[in-house]
Amino acid sequence: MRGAKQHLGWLVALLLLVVAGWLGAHVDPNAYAGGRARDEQERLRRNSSALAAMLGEFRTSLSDIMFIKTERYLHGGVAYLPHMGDLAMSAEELIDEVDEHQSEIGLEFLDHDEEGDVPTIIPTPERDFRGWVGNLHREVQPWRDPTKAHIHTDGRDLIPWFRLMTRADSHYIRGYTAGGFWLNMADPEAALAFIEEGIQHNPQEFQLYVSRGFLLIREARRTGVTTSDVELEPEVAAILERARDDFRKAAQLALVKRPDDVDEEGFGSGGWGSYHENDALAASRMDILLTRRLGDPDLANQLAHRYANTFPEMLEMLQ
Amino acid sequence: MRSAFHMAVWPIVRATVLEAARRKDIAVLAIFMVALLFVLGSARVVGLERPAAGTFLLNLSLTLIIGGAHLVTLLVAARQIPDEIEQRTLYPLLARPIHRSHVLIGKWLAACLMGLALFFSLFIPVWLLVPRLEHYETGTLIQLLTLQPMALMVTAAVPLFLTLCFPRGLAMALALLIVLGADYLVRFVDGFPLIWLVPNPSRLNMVLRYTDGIAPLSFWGWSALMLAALFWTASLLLLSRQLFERRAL
Repeated sequence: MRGAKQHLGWLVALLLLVVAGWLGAHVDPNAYAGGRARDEQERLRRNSSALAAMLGEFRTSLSDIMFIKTERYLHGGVAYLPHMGDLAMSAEELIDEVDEHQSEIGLEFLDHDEEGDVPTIIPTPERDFRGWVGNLHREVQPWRDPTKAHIHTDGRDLIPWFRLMTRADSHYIRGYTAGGFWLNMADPEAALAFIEEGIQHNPQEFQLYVSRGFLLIREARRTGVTTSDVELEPEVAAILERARDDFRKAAQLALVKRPDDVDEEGFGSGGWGSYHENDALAASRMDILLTRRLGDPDLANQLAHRYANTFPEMLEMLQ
Repeated sequence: MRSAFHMAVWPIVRATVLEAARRKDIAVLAIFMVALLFVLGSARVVGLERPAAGTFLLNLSLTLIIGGAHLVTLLVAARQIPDEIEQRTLYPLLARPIHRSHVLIGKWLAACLMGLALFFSLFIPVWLLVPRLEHYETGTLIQLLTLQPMALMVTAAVPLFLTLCFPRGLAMALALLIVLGADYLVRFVDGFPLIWLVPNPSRLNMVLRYTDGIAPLSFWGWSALMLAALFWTASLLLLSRQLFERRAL
């Protein structure tokens, strides 16, 4: 009798553990895309504050910590105040930034001419009230005179960080887009798979479709000629069709998500920023261009009219 | 007729809390609280230049106090059974008309109460001191405040169970891994068989959702998490009871 009671106790305990595990696995309070913690403009504002500068890399979000690490790494370990432009947060601009970064450095460390005069987190001797403590700080930590051009390092080394970032937070869209573009330098197929994983976790996030669309265009260019004066090879056309589908899906999702109160600078309610606006425009424009390139000018014109309801500049694309 | 709770469990709860006070645990908590309040007070006096910094401070403070409360709960719970056995104080206790499961429940409840006391005693000043400059959902805050006590209940049960299975050091390390890192563990080793069975008190943490200004979970989502916490706790306590009953002293 006692033995049976013992067995029943074990059984009930295990059953409760299974039910609890099942319930816990199916409800995740942090399973939402966006939010202030993951928004790039919010991140920029947050990390530009004196409080964040004082706390260094101390953050509560693992993906935030890793993003700060990646920025530091790209600048040769030197901690600068955040200085990314609003547009560089968009998937369209980001892929160009990645290309530009790598073309500037090759595989060597190189001074970057465009950036300079961005304040460092550790102040210059002239602005530092700490005297010898400040001097020591500049000696023991990576530091560079902010008036000099930045040192940039090879971004492909960051790929594992992006993997960890998205493992820690599978709803961090920027981790997938930026990681996908860096990964594309090393392994284009893996880059597409990486973005695909992001889409599986965040099927409603249009920036991921924009990212995949741009990666597919690069793949098409590697596969064959894509310029408008030649007929497309079937393989190239197939890849461009996939890219067009991605841009169309992105445009549809973006138009649903875009608030009505977007101002001239591209900011609107509900966390809509200029980089969202830029990607929504890019998705619409690329959908029209690729539809035309794939041999359906009538549909391209219809799309231009449809998108012009939201973005009047799309009427310029009518032919 | 006094209930078993008043006769057996409550004296153990009181004795455990008093013992924690004697061991200066409460003094350490007070120092932690004063340090945090000093930082928050300074930020309040100096002022925050942008709303995003306010949200950042709110997120940081809530995460710290929740982490602190879980750590204290874990440390208090982890030393209960091994200390009682090593110091042989369990024998006179069990010589009284007290059942082993009463001892277990009393120890667990004391650890829970200490964690809860720390959480609420820090939450109130944080709430008063940190400027809330952006929009936050009240419903999400209510869910945060109802789920955290449940998470502390799970946290108190984890080390009690583990110290009955493993030596104290190993049990403590495993408990820390589960309590503070189970959510990351589940994400990083996704696909590992039965990993989802690991009790996951971090799953009940709503701080990020609250400071992100996201709407509360649906009633069913919130209920599922409450039930999960209840079942994790019940399961761990039941497993601990099974082990403790069979243990030769």
